[in-house]
Amino acid sequence: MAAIITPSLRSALERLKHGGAINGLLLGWRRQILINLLPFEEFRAERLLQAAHDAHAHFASGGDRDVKSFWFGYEGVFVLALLQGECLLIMLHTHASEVDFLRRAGLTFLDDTQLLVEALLHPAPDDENSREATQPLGELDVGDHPPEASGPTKVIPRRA
Amino acid sequence: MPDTLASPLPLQLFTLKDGLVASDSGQEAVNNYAADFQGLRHFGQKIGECLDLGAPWAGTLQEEDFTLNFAYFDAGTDAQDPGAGALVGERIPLFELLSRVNSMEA
Repeated sequence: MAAIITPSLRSALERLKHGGAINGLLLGWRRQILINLLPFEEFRAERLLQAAHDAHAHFASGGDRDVKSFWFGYEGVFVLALLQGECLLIMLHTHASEVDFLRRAGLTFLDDTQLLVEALLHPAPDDENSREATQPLGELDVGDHPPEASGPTKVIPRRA
Repeated sequence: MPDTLASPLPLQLFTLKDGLVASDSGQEAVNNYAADFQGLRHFGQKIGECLDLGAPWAGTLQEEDFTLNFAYFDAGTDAQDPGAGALVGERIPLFELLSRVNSMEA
């Protein structure tokens, strides 16, 4: 699954990485890494993901508790872990004052991630039909005239 | 102005000293806070170990309607170091709560 959805997620994650003084990002689904943009070895990222899930499970073990965010301050860096559905986003950042902005941005990103995962795991039954009904882009080059469009998009046909 | 805007945050404050938690909020509040504090600090240490960052000097957990944190003064990280913590029965900005707890050092 990771190979299918990570390209579109990666570009969004790259943009998020420039949203503040962020040193690294880790995106996980359940207990597997989807994208690792941390400046650490893979095995450390793997352990980090497990530790964050363990922390969530620890506080949930009492019954009705559902921790959405963990935020820790270390010497020179902060670690923010956000949990939404089955997805987990961990952000390393340097300015404490940015944490609430990063939290909101991270949760929005996780909402989109969860939707993408859901769509992949449970595709709509008419998805295949709608794909087949779509006109192939190659046909636009055949005629001399562009297709009539009701919207503002203009197609300029290629000429020899 | 609506009352909800005027009322202060219902914060419960705690102090950390020599590995003990103390508060004016009563023994039950202290016990509840201490349990969460120990769990939070434990997992903060685990996460720090994963990335070679050491022990945390501050930690916060937040649920839909609950926020709890701790911070050691002067970036201390030892369990015996002085510090403070707070909890509140709502979701509030994380930085605001950290600033509030840090101000208890004065």
